[in-house]
Amino acid sequence: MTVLNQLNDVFQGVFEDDELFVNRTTSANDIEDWDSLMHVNLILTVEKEFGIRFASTEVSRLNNVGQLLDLIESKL
Amino acid sequence: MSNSNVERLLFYANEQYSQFVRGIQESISIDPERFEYIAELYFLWALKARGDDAIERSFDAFVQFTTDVNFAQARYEANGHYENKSFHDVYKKHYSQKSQMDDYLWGVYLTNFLWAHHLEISIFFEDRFLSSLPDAPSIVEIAPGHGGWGVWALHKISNADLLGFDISPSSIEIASSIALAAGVNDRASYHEQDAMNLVDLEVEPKDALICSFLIEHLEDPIKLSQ
Repeated sequence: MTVLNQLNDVFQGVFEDDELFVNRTTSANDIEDWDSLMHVNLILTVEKEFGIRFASTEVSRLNNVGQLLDLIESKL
Repeated sequence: MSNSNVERLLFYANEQYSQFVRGIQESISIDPERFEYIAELYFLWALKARGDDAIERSFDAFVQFTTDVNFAQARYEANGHYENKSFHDVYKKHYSQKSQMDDYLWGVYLTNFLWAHHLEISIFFEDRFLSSLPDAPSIVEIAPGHGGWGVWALHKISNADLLGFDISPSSIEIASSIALAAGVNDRASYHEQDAMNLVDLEVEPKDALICSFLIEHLEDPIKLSQ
């Protein structure tokens, strides 16, 4: 399973939508419930899923899935 | 929204931090006219105090502050305790760090209207607090932080004066700069002082007290009221 596929599973779980499929350009503009609170839930779920930990300063500026993907891969 | 500074903020948020746009829209929906009035007032002072890129830089700080708060709360709920164990820890890591405090304070400054529940407090502050003050009120502000509340009081009431105490040197600097930007600096005076030691000061009786978002920062909040 690729990191993007694994991340897609996280998105489907966090946003409770089995039909949700993300790609590198997906942003909060494309997912209705992706606000600043859900962003933190998403990040904490990513931490658990991938066994990594983020600093708040690393995730505040993330603006799309591609940037999140790059950050995850830099920690694996 | 017809005003360019609010539009400028929304454009920047949409470009850089799309996950924050819904929160702003939620706040606007509380009361669009009051949102615009308060936002423009705060932006005007920020632009004068910080320069032409104040809206973007302050919003960067707001995003970081909001993320920090949401993270701290989420980690607290997961772990059952906050990462910092005492006031001393927080002072050493945050309150005494100037560049961090500058960003922190400008971030909090924008929450006064960008967080929906803070906008409601701002509306309450103007409608219920400021409107009830006597003529020429003498006001004390404990922990002014960015200084927005007290400066707003001085802006609204042209014969009011204000004495502020804050533990953070950054707060004194930023609150003073906002008072200057608002043209009320001749009626505002800020001093570096721990809120817990105010009882030792000799201060003339005041007509009103502003103390906003302080209690949650104190180890012994009951002591403040004594």
